[in-house]
Amino acid sequence: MNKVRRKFVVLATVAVFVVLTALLTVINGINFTMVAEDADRVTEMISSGAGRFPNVNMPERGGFREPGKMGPDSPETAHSARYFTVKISQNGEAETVALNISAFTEEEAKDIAVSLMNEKRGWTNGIYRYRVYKEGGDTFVTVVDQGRELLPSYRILVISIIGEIICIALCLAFLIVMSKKIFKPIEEADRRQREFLAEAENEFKIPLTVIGLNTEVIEKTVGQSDETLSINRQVKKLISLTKKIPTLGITGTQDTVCDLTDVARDTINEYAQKFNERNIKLSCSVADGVTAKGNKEEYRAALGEILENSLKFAKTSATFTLSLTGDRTLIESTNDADLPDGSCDRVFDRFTRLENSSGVDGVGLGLSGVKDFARGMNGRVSASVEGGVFKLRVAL
Amino acid sequence: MKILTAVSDRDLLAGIEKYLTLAGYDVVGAFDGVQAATRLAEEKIDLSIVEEDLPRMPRGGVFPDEMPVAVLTKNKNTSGGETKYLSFPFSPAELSSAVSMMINDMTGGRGNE
Repeated sequence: MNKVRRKFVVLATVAVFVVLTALLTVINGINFTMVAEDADRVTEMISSGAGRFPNVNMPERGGFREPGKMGPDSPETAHSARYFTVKISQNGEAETVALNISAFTEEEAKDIAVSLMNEKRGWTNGIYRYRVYKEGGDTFVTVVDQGRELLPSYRILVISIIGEIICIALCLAFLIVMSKKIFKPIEEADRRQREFLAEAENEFKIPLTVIGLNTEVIEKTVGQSDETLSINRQVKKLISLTKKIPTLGITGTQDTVCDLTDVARDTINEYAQKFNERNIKLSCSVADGVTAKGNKEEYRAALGEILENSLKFAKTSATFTLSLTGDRTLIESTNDADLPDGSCDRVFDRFTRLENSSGVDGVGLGLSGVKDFARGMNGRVSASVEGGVFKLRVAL
Repeated sequence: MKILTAVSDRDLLAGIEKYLTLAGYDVVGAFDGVQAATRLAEEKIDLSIVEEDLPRMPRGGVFPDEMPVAVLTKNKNTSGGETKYLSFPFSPAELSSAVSMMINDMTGGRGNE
Protein backbone atom coordinates (compact mmCIF):
# COMPACT_ATOMS: atom_id res chain seq x y z
CA MET A 1 0.00 0.00 0.00
CA ASN A 2 1.55 3.34 -0.92
CA LYS A 3 2.06 6.23 1.44
CA VAL A 4 -0.93 8.38 0.42
CA ARG A 5 -3.32 5.44 0.43
CA ARG A 6 -2.09 4.31 3.85
CA LYS A 7 -2.52 7.84 5.17
CA PHE A 8 -6.07 8.00 3.79
CA VAL A 9 -7.03 4.66 5.39
CA VAL A 10 -5.55 5.65 8.77
CA LEU A 11 -7.15 9.10 8.75
CA ALA A 12 -10.57 7.79 7.70
CA THR A 13 -10.44 5.07 10.38
CA VAL A 14 -9.41 7.58 13.04
CA ALA A 15 -12.27 9.85 11.93
CA VAL A 16 -14.78 6.99 12.25
CA PHE A 17 -13.32 6.09 15.66
CA VAL A 18 -13.61 9.69 16.91
CA VAL A 19 -17.20 10.13 15.68
CA LEU A 20 -18.36 6.75 17.03
CA THR A 21 -16.63 7.27 20.38
CA ALA A 22 -18.17 10.73 20.75
CA LEU A 23 -21.64 9.42 19.86
CA LEU A 24 -21.47 6.40 22.19
CA THR A 25 -19.98 8.50 25.00
CA VAL A 26 -22.92 10.90 24.80
CA ILE A 27 -25.51 8.07 24.63
CA ASN A 28 -24.00 6.16 27.57
CA GLY A 29 -23.40 9.36 29.52
CA ILE A 30 -27.07 10.34 29.20
CA ASN A 31 -28.11 6.79 30.13
CA PHE A 32 -26.04 6.75 33.35
CA THR A 33 -27.13 10.31 34.23
CA MET A 34 -30.81 9.24 33.92
CA VAL A 35 -30.20 6.26 36.21
CA ALA A 36 -28.64 8.63 38.78
CA GLU A 37 -31.59 11.02 38.44
CA ASP A 38 -34.04 8.14 38.97
CA ALA A 39 -32.12 7.12 42.08
CA ASP A 40 -32.18 10.69 43.36
CA ARG A 41 -35.95 10.77 42.79
CA VAL A 42 -36.27 7.62 44.94
CA THR A 43 -34.09 9.01 47.77
CA GLU A 44 -36.07 12.26 47.57
CA MET A 45 -39.33 10.34 48.06
CA ILE A 46 -37.83 8.51 51.03
CA SER A 47 -36.57 11.75 52.53
CA SER A 48 -40.04 13.25 52.23
CA GLY A 49 -41.30 10.35 54.37
CA ALA A 50 -38.67 10.91 57.10
CA GLY A 51 -36.61 7.91 56.03
CA ARG A 52 -39.36 5.66 54.71
CA PHE A 53 -41.50 5.60 51.61
CA PRO A 54 -44.58 7.73 52.19
CA ASN A 55 -47.97 6.10 51.69
CA VAL A 56 -48.48 5.56 48.00
CA ASN A 57 -51.66 5.18 46.07
CA MET A 58 -51.79 1.52 45.32
CA PRO A 59 -53.64 0.50 42.15
CA GLU A 60 -56.72 -1.62 42.43
CA ARG A 61 -55.68 -5.20 42.87
CA GLY A 62 -56.05 -7.27 39.74
CA GLY A 63 -55.60 -4.24 37.48
CA PHE A 64 -52.66 -3.07 35.45
CA ARG A 65 -51.07 0.26 36.34
CA GLU A 66 -51.33 3.16 33.93
CA PRO A 67 -49.03 2.94 30.94
CA GLY A 68 -46.08 5.29 31.24
CA LYS A 69 -45.84 5.05 35.01
CA MET A 70 -42.45 3.43 35.08
CA GLY A 71 -39.23 3.95 37.01
CA PRO A 72 -39.34 5.84 40.32
CA ASP A 73 -42.89 7.12 39.65
CA SER A 74 -44.24 3.58 39.52
CA PRO A 75 -46.42 2.61 42.51
CA GLU A 76 -44.28 -0.56 42.71
CA THR A 77 -41.16 1.43 43.60
CA ALA A 78 -42.02 1.43 47.31
CA HIS A 79 -42.11 -2.37 47.22
CA SER A 80 -39.17 -2.99 44.94
CA ALA A 81 -36.67 -0.45 46.27
CA ARG A 82 -33.80 -1.91 48.29
CA TYR A 83 -32.69 0.70 50.77
CA PHE A 84 -31.92 1.60 54.31
CA THR A 85 -32.21 4.85 56.27
CA VAL A 86 -30.22 5.67 59.38
CA LYS A 87 -30.99 8.62 61.66
CA ILE A 88 -28.02 10.16 63.42
CA SER A 89 -29.02 12.36 66.33
CA GLN A 90 -27.21 15.53 67.36
CA ASN A 91 -25.28 13.64 70.02
CA GLY A 92 -24.01 11.21 67.33
CA GLU A 93 -26.26 8.30 68.18
CA ALA A 94 -27.18 6.25 65.11
CA GLU A 95 -30.58 4.55 64.81
CA THR A 96 -31.87 2.51 61.91
CA VAL A 97 -35.12 3.97 60.58
CA ALA A 98 -35.63 1.51 57.72
CA LEU A 99 -33.70 -1.58 56.59
CA ASN A 100 -35.32 -2.86 53.41
CA ILE A 101 -32.17 -4.44 52.06
CA SER A 102 -30.57 -7.83 52.61
CA ALA A 103 -26.96 -6.88 51.85
CA PHE A 104 -26.33 -5.14 55.20
CA THR A 105 -26.99 -5.76 58.87
CA GLU A 106 -28.22 -2.89 61.05
CA GLU A 107 -24.69 -2.32 62.40
CA GLU A 108 -23.18 -2.26 58.91
CA ALA A 109 -25.89 0.18 57.76
CA LYS A 110 -25.11 2.46 60.72
CA ASP A 111 -21.35 2.38 59.96
CA ILE A 112 -21.99 3.27 56.31
CA ALA A 113 -24.36 6.09 57.34
CA VAL A 114 -21.85 7.57 59.79
CA SER A 115 -19.13 7.51 57.11
CA LEU A 116 -21.43 9.38 54.71
CA MET A 117 -23.08 11.85 57.11
CA ASN A 118 -20.89 14.79 56.06
CA GLU A 119 -21.64 14.33 52.37
CA LYS A 120 -24.77 15.42 50.45
CA ARG A 121 -25.49 12.85 47.77
CA GLY A 122 -23.65 10.62 45.36
CA TRP A 123 -22.57 7.06 44.61
CA THR A 124 -20.85 4.71 47.05
CA ASN A 125 -19.42 1.29 46.22
CA GLY A 126 -20.36 1.73 42.57
CA ILE A 127 -24.05 0.82 42.74
CA TYR A 128 -25.39 2.50 45.93
CA ARG A 129 -26.91 5.98 45.64
CA TYR A 130 -27.10 7.95 48.89
CA ARG A 131 -28.72 11.14 50.09
CA VAL A 132 -27.97 12.98 53.35
CA TYR A 133 -30.64 15.36 54.73
CA LYS A 134 -31.56 17.11 57.97
CA GLU A 135 -34.85 17.00 59.77
CA GLY A 136 -35.58 18.34 63.24
CA GLY A 137 -31.88 18.70 64.05
CA ASP A 138 -31.18 15.06 63.18
CA THR A 139 -29.21 13.85 60.18
CA PHE A 140 -30.78 11.21 57.96
CA VAL A 141 -28.74 9.06 55.56
CA THR A 142 -30.66 7.07 52.96
CA VAL A 143 -28.78 4.56 50.79
CA VAL A 144 -30.53 2.92 47.81
CA ASP A 145 -29.23 -0.12 45.94
CA GLN A 146 -29.39 0.76 42.21
CA GLY A 147 -27.61 -2.38 40.98
CA ARG A 148 -30.68 -3.72 39.17
CA GLU A 149 -31.29 -0.38 37.46
CA LEU A 150 -27.60 0.02 36.54
CA LEU A 151 -27.23 -3.46 35.05
CA PRO A 152 -28.93 -2.63 31.69
CA SER A 153 -26.81 0.54 31.45
CA TYR A 154 -23.60 -1.43 31.93
CA ARG A 155 -24.79 -3.96 29.37
CA ILE A 156 -25.43 -1.16 26.88
CA LEU A 157 -21.94 0.24 27.62
CA VAL A 158 -20.26 -3.12 26.98
CA ILE A 159 -22.35 -3.69 23.83
CA SER A 160 -21.40 -0.17 22.67
CA ILE A 161 -17.67 -0.85 23.12
CA ILE A 162 -17.85 -4.25 21.37
CA GLY A 163 -20.01 -2.72 18.63
CA GLU A 164 -17.55 0.12 18.15
CA ILE A 165 -14.58 -2.26 17.88
CA ILE A 166 -16.44 -4.41 15.31
CA CYS A 167 -17.56 -1.31 13.42
CA ILE A 168 -14.00 0.08 13.25
CA ALA A 169 -12.59 -3.27 12.16
CA LEU A 170 -15.23 -3.53 9.40
CA CYS A 171 -14.63 0.07 8.41
CA LEU A 172 -10.86 -0.53 8.24
CA ALA A 173 -11.32 -3.65 6.12
CA PHE A 174 -13.76 -1.80 3.84
CA LEU A 175 -11.40 1.15 3.48
CA ILE A 176 -8.41 -1.07 2.70
CA VAL A 177 -10.38 -2.83 -0.02
CA MET A 178 -12.12 0.26 -1.40
CA SER A 179 -9.10 2.55 -1.21
CA LYS A 180 -7.44 0.31 -3.79
CA LYS A 181 -10.24 1.16 -6.21
CA ILE A 182 -10.41 4.82 -5.18
CA PHE A 183 -6.67 5.35 -5.53
CA LYS A 184 -6.17 3.30 -8.67
CA PRO A 185 -6.88 6.21 -11.06
CA ILE A 186 -4.77 8.57 -8.92
CA GLU A 187 -1.84 6.15 -8.79
CA GLU A 188 -2.22 5.57 -12.51
CA ALA A 189 -2.17 9.32 -13.22
CA ASP A 190 0.88 9.71 -10.96
CA ARG A 191 2.66 6.85 -12.73
CA ARG A 192 1.82 8.30 -16.14
CA GLN A 193 3.06 11.72 -15.06
CA ARG A 194 6.36 10.26 -13.85
CA GLU A 195 6.73 8.27 -17.05
CA PHE A 196 5.97 11.36 -19.11
CA LEU A 197 8.56 13.39 -17.21
CA ALA A 198 11.18 10.68 -17.65
CA GLU A 199 10.38 10.31 -21.35
CA ALA A 200 10.23 14.07 -21.91
CA GLU A 201 13.61 14.42 -20.22
CA ASN A 202 15.12 11.73 -22.45
CA GLU A 203 13.49 12.92 -25.66
CA PHE A 204 14.85 16.44 -25.19
CA LYS A 205 18.39 15.31 -24.58
CA ILE A 206 19.60 14.30 -28.01
CA PRO A 207 17.97 17.19 -29.96
CA LEU A 208 19.51 19.68 -27.54
CA THR A 209 22.93 18.07 -27.93
CA VAL A 210 22.59 18.17 -31.71
CA ILE A 211 21.53 21.86 -31.72
CA GLY A 212 24.45 22.71 -29.44
CA LEU A 213 26.98 20.84 -31.61
CA ASN A 214 25.64 22.28 -34.89
CA THR A 215 25.65 25.81 -33.52
CA GLU A 216 29.25 25.34 -32.48
CA VAL A 217 30.07 24.00 -35.97
CA ILE A 218 28.38 27.06 -37.56
CA GLU A 219 30.34 29.38 -35.29
CA LYS A 220 33.57 27.67 -36.21
CA THR A 221 32.91 27.61 -39.96
CA VAL A 222 30.89 30.81 -40.59
CA GLY A 223 31.77 32.76 -37.50
CA GLN A 224 30.06 33.79 -34.29
CA SER A 225 26.98 36.00 -34.61
CA ASP A 226 24.26 37.41 -32.36
CA GLU A 227 22.04 34.62 -33.62
CA THR A 228 24.43 31.79 -32.74
CA LEU A 229 25.06 33.36 -29.33
CA SER A 230 21.32 33.57 -28.78
CA ILE A 231 20.86 29.93 -29.83
CA ASN A 232 23.60 28.90 -27.41
CA ARG A 233 21.98 30.83 -24.55
CA GLN A 234 18.59 29.26 -25.22
CA VAL A 235 20.11 25.79 -25.56
CA LYS A 236 21.85 26.24 -22.21
CA LYS A 237 18.54 27.26 -20.68
CA LEU A 238 16.76 24.25 -22.13
CA ILE A 239 19.56 21.93 -20.99
CA SER A 240 19.24 23.38 -17.51
CA LEU A 241 15.46 22.85 -17.63
CA THR A 242 15.91 19.29 -18.84
CA LYS A 243 18.27 18.55 -15.98
CA LYS A 244 15.69 19.89 -13.54
CA ILE A 245 12.85 17.71 -14.82
CA PRO A 246 13.73 14.76 -12.55
CA THR A 247 13.59 17.03 -9.49
CA LEU A 248 9.97 17.89 -10.37
CA GLY A 249 9.18 14.33 -9.47
CA ILE A 250 10.83 14.57 -6.04
CA THR A 251 8.11 13.78 -3.57
CA GLY A 252 9.92 12.70 -0.45
CA THR A 253 9.20 9.03 0.01
CA GLN A 254 9.93 7.83 3.52
CA ASP A 255 10.14 4.08 3.11
CA THR A 256 13.88 3.53 3.54
CA VAL A 257 16.59 4.85 5.85
CA CYS A 258 19.65 6.41 4.26
CA ASP A 259 22.96 7.69 5.58
CA LEU A 260 22.52 11.42 5.12
CA THR A 261 26.07 12.15 6.29
CA ASP A 262 27.46 10.05 3.43
CA VAL A 263 25.10 11.58 0.88
CA ALA A 264 26.01 15.11 2.02
CA ARG A 265 29.78 14.41 1.88
CA ASP A 266 29.48 12.83 -1.59
CA THR A 267 27.45 15.78 -2.87
CA ILE A 268 29.91 18.30 -1.38
CA ASN A 269 32.82 16.45 -3.03
CA GLU A 270 30.96 16.57 -6.31
CA TYR A 271 30.59 20.36 -6.06
CA ALA A 272 33.90 21.28 -4.39
CA GLN A 273 35.77 21.59 -7.70
CA LYS A 274 33.04 23.78 -9.20
CA PHE A 275 33.24 26.16 -6.22
CA ASN A 276 37.04 26.28 -6.62
CA GLU A 277 36.71 27.08 -10.32
CA ARG A 278 34.51 30.06 -9.46
CA ASN A 279 36.86 31.15 -6.65
CA ILE A 280 34.12 30.78 -4.07
CA LYS A 281 35.16 29.64 -0.62
CA LEU A 282 32.85 26.82 0.44
CA SER A 283 32.87 26.02 4.19
CA CYS A 284 31.09 22.84 5.16
CA SER A 285 30.12 21.24 8.42
CA VAL A 286 28.58 17.78 8.26
CA ALA A 287 27.63 16.01 11.49
CA ASP A 288 28.60 12.35 11.78
CA GLY A 289 26.02 9.57 11.78
CA VAL A 290 23.02 11.53 10.54
CA THR A 291 20.48 9.13 9.11
CA ALA A 292 17.05 9.90 7.77
CA LYS A 293 14.12 8.10 6.28
CA GLY A 294 13.83 8.62 2.56
CA ASN A 295 15.22 7.86 -0.85
CA LYS A 296 18.99 8.36 -1.19
CA GLU A 297 18.78 9.68 -4.74
CA GLU A 298 16.10 12.19 -3.79
CA TYR A 299 18.30 13.44 -0.92
CA ARG A 300 21.24 13.64 -3.32
CA ALA A 301 19.16 15.66 -5.81
CA ALA A 302 17.85 18.01 -3.10
CA LEU A 303 21.29 18.63 -1.55
CA GLY A 304 22.70 19.10 -5.05
CA GLU A 305 20.11 21.79 -5.77
CA ILE A 306 20.99 23.62 -2.55
CA LEU A 307 24.71 23.62 -3.40
CA GLU A 308 23.96 24.51 -7.02
CA ASN A 309 22.04 27.55 -5.81
CA SER A 310 25.01 28.71 -3.71
CA LEU A 311 27.38 28.04 -6.58
CA LYS A 312 25.31 30.23 -8.89
CA PHE A 313 24.66 33.17 -6.62
CA ALA A 314 27.54 33.37 -4.12
CA LYS A 315 29.96 36.25 -4.71
CA THR A 316 32.92 35.09 -2.65
CA SER A 317 31.83 32.61 0.02
CA ALA A 318 29.22 30.03 0.91
CA THR A 319 28.54 27.62 3.76
CA PHE A 320 26.77 24.29 4.01
CA THR A 321 25.79 22.69 7.30
CA LEU A 322 24.15 19.37 8.09
CA SER A 323 23.27 18.93 11.75
CA LEU A 324 20.90 17.24 14.16
CA THR A 325 18.86 19.41 16.52
CA GLY A 326 16.68 17.31 18.80
CA ASP A 327 14.80 14.96 16.52
CA ARG A 328 15.12 17.30 13.55
CA THR A 329 17.70 17.17 10.79
CA LEU A 330 18.78 20.64 9.77
CA ILE A 331 20.29 21.55 6.44
CA GLU A 332 21.48 25.13 6.27
CA SER A 333 23.14 26.91 3.43
CA THR A 334 24.33 30.50 3.26
CA ASN A 335 26.01 32.62 0.61
CA ASP A 336 26.88 36.26 0.09
CA ALA A 337 24.40 36.81 -2.72
CA ASP A 338 23.66 40.40 -3.53
CA LEU A 339 20.08 40.62 -2.27
CA PRO A 340 18.13 43.09 -0.10
CA ASP A 341 17.47 42.00 3.51
CA GLY A 342 14.19 40.29 4.41
CA SER A 343 12.31 37.09 3.86
CA CYS A 344 12.57 35.65 0.37
CA ASP A 345 10.46 32.50 0.50
CA ARG A 346 9.42 33.21 -3.08
CA VAL A 347 12.69 31.55 -4.17
CA PHE A 348 10.76 28.33 -3.60
CA ASP A 349 8.11 29.25 -6.20
CA ARG A 350 8.38 27.38 -9.46
CA PHE A 351 9.95 29.33 -12.36
CA THR A 352 10.68 32.28 -10.06
CA ARG A 353 14.03 33.99 -10.42
CA LEU A 354 15.14 36.77 -8.09
CA GLU A 355 16.54 40.15 -9.11
CA ASN A 356 20.16 38.92 -8.77
CA SER A 357 19.64 36.09 -11.26
CA SER A 358 20.18 38.18 -14.36
CA GLY A 359 22.99 36.63 -16.37
CA VAL A 360 22.92 33.47 -14.29
CA ASP A 361 21.95 30.21 -15.98
CA GLY A 362 18.80 28.61 -14.69
CA VAL A 363 15.06 28.44 -15.02
CA GLY A 364 13.90 28.83 -11.43
CA LEU A 365 13.10 25.23 -10.66
CA GLY A 366 15.88 24.03 -8.37
CA LEU A 367 14.70 25.28 -4.99
CA SER A 368 11.05 24.55 -5.77
CA GLY A 369 12.13 20.92 -6.05
CA VAL A 370 13.81 21.22 -2.63
CA LYS A 371 10.57 22.60 -1.17
CA ASP A 372 8.50 19.76 -2.68
CA PHE A 373 10.99 17.25 -1.30
CA ALA A 374 10.93 18.80 2.21
CA ARG A 375 7.14 18.88 2.23
CA GLY A 376 7.03 15.26 1.17
CA MET A 377 9.21 14.47 4.19
CA ASN A 378 6.92 16.50 6.50
CA GLY A 379 9.67 19.10 6.74
CA ARG A 380 9.85 22.87 6.37
CA VAL A 381 11.89 25.24 4.25
CA SER A 382 12.60 28.92 4.70
CA ALA A 383 14.81 31.51 3.06
CA SER A 384 15.86 34.96 4.18
CA VAL A 385 18.55 37.56 3.69
CA GLU A 386 20.25 39.10 6.73
CA GLY A 387 23.06 41.59 6.33
CA GLY A 388 23.35 40.71 2.66
CA VAL A 389 23.76 36.99 3.44
CA PHE A 390 21.24 34.68 1.85
CA LYS A 391 20.24 31.92 4.26
CA LEU A 392 18.39 28.78 3.26
CA ARG A 393 17.11 26.45 5.96
CA VAL A 394 15.56 23.01 5.53
CA ALA A 395 14.26 21.29 8.66
CA LEU A 396 13.35 17.62 8.22
CA MET B 1 44.25 10.33 -33.85
CA LYS B 2 41.29 8.45 -35.35
CA ILE B 3 38.02 8.42 -33.50
CA LEU B 4 35.10 6.11 -34.16
CA THR B 5 31.74 7.68 -33.37
CA ALA B 6 28.91 5.17 -33.13
CA VAL B 7 25.47 6.65 -32.47
CA SER B 8 22.07 5.71 -33.93
CA ASP B 9 20.75 9.24 -34.42
CA ARG B 10 21.98 10.42 -37.84
CA ASP B 11 21.85 14.13 -36.93
CA LEU B 12 23.79 13.53 -33.75
CA LEU B 13 26.32 11.43 -35.62
CA ALA B 14 26.78 14.17 -38.21
CA GLY B 15 27.03 16.86 -35.49
CA ILE B 16 29.72 14.98 -33.55
CA GLU B 17 31.64 14.10 -36.71
CA LYS B 18 31.69 17.72 -37.96
CA TYR B 19 32.52 19.14 -34.54
CA LEU B 20 35.40 16.76 -33.88
CA THR B 21 36.68 17.13 -37.42
CA LEU B 22 36.79 20.90 -36.95
CA ALA B 23 38.62 20.28 -33.69
CA GLY B 24 41.33 18.50 -35.68
CA TYR B 25 40.48 14.85 -35.26
CA ASP B 26 40.09 12.20 -37.90
CA VAL B 27 36.57 10.89 -37.39
CA VAL B 28 34.73 7.90 -38.79
CA GLY B 29 31.05 7.28 -38.09
CA ALA B 30 28.80 4.29 -37.56
CA PHE B 31 25.09 4.24 -36.82
CA ASP B 32 24.80 0.72 -35.44
CA GLY B 33 26.87 -2.04 -33.89
CA VAL B 34 27.40 -3.95 -37.14
CA GLN B 35 28.72 -0.87 -38.92
CA ALA B 36 30.92 -0.07 -35.91
CA ALA B 37 32.41 -3.57 -36.07
CA THR B 38 33.10 -3.13 -39.79
CA ARG B 39 34.83 0.22 -39.22
CA LEU B 40 36.92 -1.27 -36.43
CA ALA B 41 37.96 -4.15 -38.69
CA GLU B 42 38.76 -1.90 -41.67
CA GLU B 43 40.49 1.02 -40.00
CA LYS B 44 42.95 1.64 -37.22
CA ILE B 45 40.80 3.32 -34.58
CA ASP B 46 42.45 4.92 -31.54
CA LEU B 47 39.40 5.64 -29.46
CA SER B 48 35.64 5.38 -29.71
CA ILE B 49 32.62 7.37 -28.71
CA VAL B 50 29.64 5.05 -28.56
CA GLU B 51 26.02 5.48 -27.65
CA GLU B 52 24.79 3.29 -24.83
CA ASP B 53 22.39 0.61 -26.10
CA LEU B 54 23.55 1.06 -29.69
CA PRO B 55 21.26 -1.03 -31.94
CA ARG B 56 22.48 -4.18 -33.69
CA MET B 57 25.44 -4.55 -31.39
CA PRO B 58 27.07 -8.00 -31.94
CA ARG B 59 27.04 -10.32 -28.94
CA GLY B 60 30.17 -9.91 -26.84
CA GLY B 61 30.69 -6.33 -28.03
CA VAL B 62 32.93 -5.01 -30.76
CA PHE B 63 35.43 -2.81 -28.96
CA PRO B 64 38.81 -4.22 -27.96
CA ASP B 65 39.40 -4.13 -24.19
CA GLU B 66 42.44 -1.88 -24.54
CA MET B 67 40.61 0.74 -26.59
CA PRO B 68 39.45 3.85 -24.70
CA VAL B 69 35.69 4.19 -25.11
CA ALA B 70 33.45 7.09 -24.09
CA VAL B 71 29.85 6.03 -23.61
CA LEU B 72 27.09 8.52 -24.39
CA THR B 73 24.23 7.84 -22.02
CA LYS B 74 20.84 9.21 -21.07
CA ASN B 75 21.46 8.28 -17.44
CA LYS B 76 22.46 10.98 -15.01
CA ASN B 77 24.46 9.03 -12.45
CA THR B 78 27.32 7.43 -14.27
CA SER B 79 30.25 7.98 -11.94
CA GLY B 80 32.53 5.12 -10.96
CA GLY B 81 34.41 2.52 -12.97
CA GLU B 82 36.99 2.98 -15.67
CA THR B 83 34.51 3.72 -18.47
CA LYS B 84 34.20 7.37 -19.41
CA TYR B 85 30.54 8.38 -19.52
CA LEU B 86 29.10 11.49 -21.09
CA SER B 87 25.49 12.17 -20.15
CA PHE B 88 23.05 13.70 -22.61
CA PRO B 89 22.55 16.59 -23.13
CA PHE B 90 26.23 17.46 -23.19
CA SER B 91 27.78 20.64 -24.52
CA PRO B 92 30.43 20.71 -27.29
CA ALA B 93 32.94 21.78 -24.64
CA GLU B 94 32.12 18.70 -22.53
CA LEU B 95 32.61 16.47 -25.57
CA SER B 96 35.92 18.14 -26.33
CA SER B 97 37.05 17.79 -22.74
CA ALA B 98 36.10 14.10 -22.64
CA VAL B 99 38.03 13.38 -25.82
CA SER B 100 41.06 15.33 -24.57
CA MET B 101 41.02 13.42 -21.29
CA MET B 102 40.92 10.09 -23.06
CA ILE B 103 43.80 11.11 -25.31
CA ASN B 104 45.78 12.28 -22.30
CA ASP B 105 45.14 8.96 -20.57
CA MET B 106 46.31 7.13 -23.70
CA THR B 107 49.41 9.19 -24.33
CA GLY B 108 50.33 9.82 -20.73
CA GLY B 109 49.68 13.56 -21.03
CA ARG B 110 51.54 14.07 -24.35
CA GLY B 111 48.31 15.18 -26.09
CA ASN B 112 47.08 14.60 -29.62
CA GLU B 113 50.02 13.11 -31.44
